[in-house]
Amino acid sequence: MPDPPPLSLSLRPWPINLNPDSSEQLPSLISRIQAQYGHFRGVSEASLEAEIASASDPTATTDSNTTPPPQLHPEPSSPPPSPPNTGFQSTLDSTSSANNVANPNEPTDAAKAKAEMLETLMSAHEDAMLMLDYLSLLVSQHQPEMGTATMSPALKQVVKPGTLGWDRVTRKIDPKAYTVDDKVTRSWKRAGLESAASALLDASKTLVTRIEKEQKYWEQVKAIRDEGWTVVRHPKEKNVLAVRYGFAESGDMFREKGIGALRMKDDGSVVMDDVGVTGIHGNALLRVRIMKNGETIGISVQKERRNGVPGSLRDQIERARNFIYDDELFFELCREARLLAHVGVRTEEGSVAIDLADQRCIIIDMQPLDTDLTDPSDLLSSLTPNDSETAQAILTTLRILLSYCHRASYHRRSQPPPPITPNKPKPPPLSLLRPIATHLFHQTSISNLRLILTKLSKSALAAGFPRAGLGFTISPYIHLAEKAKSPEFMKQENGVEKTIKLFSDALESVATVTLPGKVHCAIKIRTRLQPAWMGTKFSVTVTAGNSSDKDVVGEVDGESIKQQQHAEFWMIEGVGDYIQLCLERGIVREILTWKLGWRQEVEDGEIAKSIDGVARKVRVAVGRNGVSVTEGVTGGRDEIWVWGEDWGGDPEGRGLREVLERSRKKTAP
Amino acid sequence: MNAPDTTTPFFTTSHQELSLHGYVSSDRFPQVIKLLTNLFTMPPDTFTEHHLIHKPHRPKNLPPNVETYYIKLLSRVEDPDADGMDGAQVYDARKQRWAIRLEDLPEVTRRPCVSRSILSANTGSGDVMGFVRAMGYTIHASYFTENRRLVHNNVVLTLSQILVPKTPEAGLGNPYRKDEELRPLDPKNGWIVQASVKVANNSDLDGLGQAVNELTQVKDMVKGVVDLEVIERLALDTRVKG
Repeated sequence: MPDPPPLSLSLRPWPINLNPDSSEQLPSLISRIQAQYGHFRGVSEASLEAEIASASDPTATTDSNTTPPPQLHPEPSSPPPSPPNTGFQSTLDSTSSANNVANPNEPTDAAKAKAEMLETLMSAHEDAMLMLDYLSLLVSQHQPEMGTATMSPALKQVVKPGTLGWDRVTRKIDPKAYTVDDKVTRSWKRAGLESAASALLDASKTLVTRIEKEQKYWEQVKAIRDEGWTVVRHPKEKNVLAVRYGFAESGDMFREKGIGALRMKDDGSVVMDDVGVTGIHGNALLRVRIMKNGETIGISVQKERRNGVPGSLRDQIERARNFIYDDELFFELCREARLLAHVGVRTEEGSVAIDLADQRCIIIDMQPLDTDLTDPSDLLSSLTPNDSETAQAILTTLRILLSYCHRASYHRRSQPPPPITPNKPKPPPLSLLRPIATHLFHQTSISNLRLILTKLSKSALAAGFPRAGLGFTISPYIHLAEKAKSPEFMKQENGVEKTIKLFSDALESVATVTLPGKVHCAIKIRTRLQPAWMGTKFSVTVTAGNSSDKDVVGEVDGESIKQQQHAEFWMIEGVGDYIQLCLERGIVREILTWKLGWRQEVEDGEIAKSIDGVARKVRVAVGRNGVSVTEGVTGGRDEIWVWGEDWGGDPEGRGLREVLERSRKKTAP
Repeated sequence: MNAPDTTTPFFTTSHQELSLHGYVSSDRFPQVIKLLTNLFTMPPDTFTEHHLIHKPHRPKNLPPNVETYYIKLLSRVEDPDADGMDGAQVYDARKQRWAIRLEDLPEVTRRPCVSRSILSANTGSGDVMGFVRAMGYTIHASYFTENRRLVHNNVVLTLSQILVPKTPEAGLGNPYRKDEELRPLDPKNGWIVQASVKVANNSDLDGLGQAVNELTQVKDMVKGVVDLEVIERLALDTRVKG
């Protein structure tokens, strides 16, 4: 069913049919029919039959499709045909159909209402025009141009403009009414004045309290500024002061956070926004713990150094500064730790861990501050003072290093930058963990090396070699002396920066080992955690002293050991093995100097002697147990002597030399 | 994390320079420096530079459309108060570490800045002045600039004053005796301000856009302290006339 067209009560008159037979009428007529009855498309047999039925039976239903047949040639005076029935007009329609029964030409209620409306509008219009005329006549006396412009021509003809005047009329004053009026006005005036006075008093009181508040506020703000803190406009909120407690050289994230709004409390004193709400970790400071086998053996102490009275504004600002410092420190630590994953630095949920040898690890995380409760971990019995000191030292070092990094970034940004290129380099993570890890790894390497060398020298001693030609010394951090003398270093002005720079790059130590057979090893241990190579490098240089056996001492990996041989290792085990090899060769060299008749046929730890046509062989090997010497005949049984750290290989406590001499004696005829 | 080496003055090699300029009168200068220090959160770098302008010899059979350009030799004058030098050091221009630089005429651009190509080469050792002379250039002018430099991200803000020798007998001038031998070119003793950004490649549109943004940012930052504007590009014309 097509939508019923809306009831449109047009005030435009029905078009006058001047030329009923003109063909111009048809298009407009068609469009009117379509608007009224719906498009021709909608015409169906059923709808047509319904129309016919309703035409013949005027008391038909209020179906929207039933309409009286359109009158194609209405007379000008007749009212327009009734519009099609719409839903809400059902009652009207029944009467209209009744009307249609009575007299199809009588106007419907809608038409009547329209006529009434027009009448009342006309009369209202007439009243308005009359009023306009009256007023404009009145006005025309004082302002003729304005008045005459709005007067109607009919009025102008009847009455000349400017002929209506007005004046005020004085009345007789009733004295009694006058006094009453007078009293009333006076009392109203008094009431008004009283209320004004009280309002003024109140206003002045509030003003006084306001002034006191403001004075207190500004005094405190001035005190803060005099102490050196920067007071600025709050970047986001209008008309709010803020104090900048953050650091200028922080990364992008933290620079905007370092601002605290200074708000006024009810009594005027200043309170700063609590950074615990705005910071990432809330009120938390950095904590370093040293763990061994899962137990905490050392822990750093949360010593918050604050100068101000707790609760005062200065105290608040200092606390906020401490929190944001440690916040940033932890953030940068986590960023750097990702780089160092391959040297044993782990990042976990909210903590950074450095794995050291010997089941120890260092854990760095943020510990929330509870100023009231003491930390239960302080009471741990597994804590040792030494390790706690180390933990504290690491914490302090981290804080110093962050400050150093801030200075470095300040230097960097004060220099004119290179030209802009399409690839934008990202700023590298700050070097906070690296100096500490370098130091710890270096220490570990040195102590491991010391252990190895001690073991070897004890074994060699047990084998009877004299102490004079045997021994080692380790000089830690020899690079410091060299670096401190370099001209570039001397030119730096700041003492603190100089000191830190010494320790922040590579660390170097040297160990010199003397072995039997006049073999000298110089081991250079260099630990460095910068991008080129990350880790500890052991460079071993072996020199064989003067010997009668010409240059070649032995063989390592297919290459002859000449006067000086150089090797590099990344693992301490490799160094250990190499030193053992050098000891072997050294011992063999030494044996050869004893001139017991042994010869070295191939370049390894084996020496041979031919006695009575029987070839005897002695093999020297240095291993985990110590120095071991195997002697035997080809095809016969071997005799083995081992000299270790703590024991001698021979039941009679003889050294290697005696053993070999005895064997010589044994086979001598 | 090395502190930068500020002793060897290596100048940036060839790049495109986008810049804005301004002027500060001498009475406002101390206040402006103070305000800029606060805005840029760094104290200004102070240094003196020596500019030697050279004019090319024009060969006779050159077609008339070819332009020739003035080139300049640029060096940073060591601070005479630094350790190891006494105040009455004699200044020898030949012993300075020069960079050879040609500043091209600024290009016509819609960007709100002056954009010019700078061709520059640093030198190692040798007689640079003799080399340039052998190439057919003669010394046309010599002046020193007194500079104060501040940095913000990629923008370098330089305030400079040109000093020329007082008398023709002073030759190329001695920067160690500023008060006796040099006078400011500007009789009112004012300072010229330049905000510049270097872009490595003139075809790098993103880089150029970034440079323009940063320049505009700095311009807004120093609004009220210094007025930075786009100057007439022909004011930086280095072509030889006539």
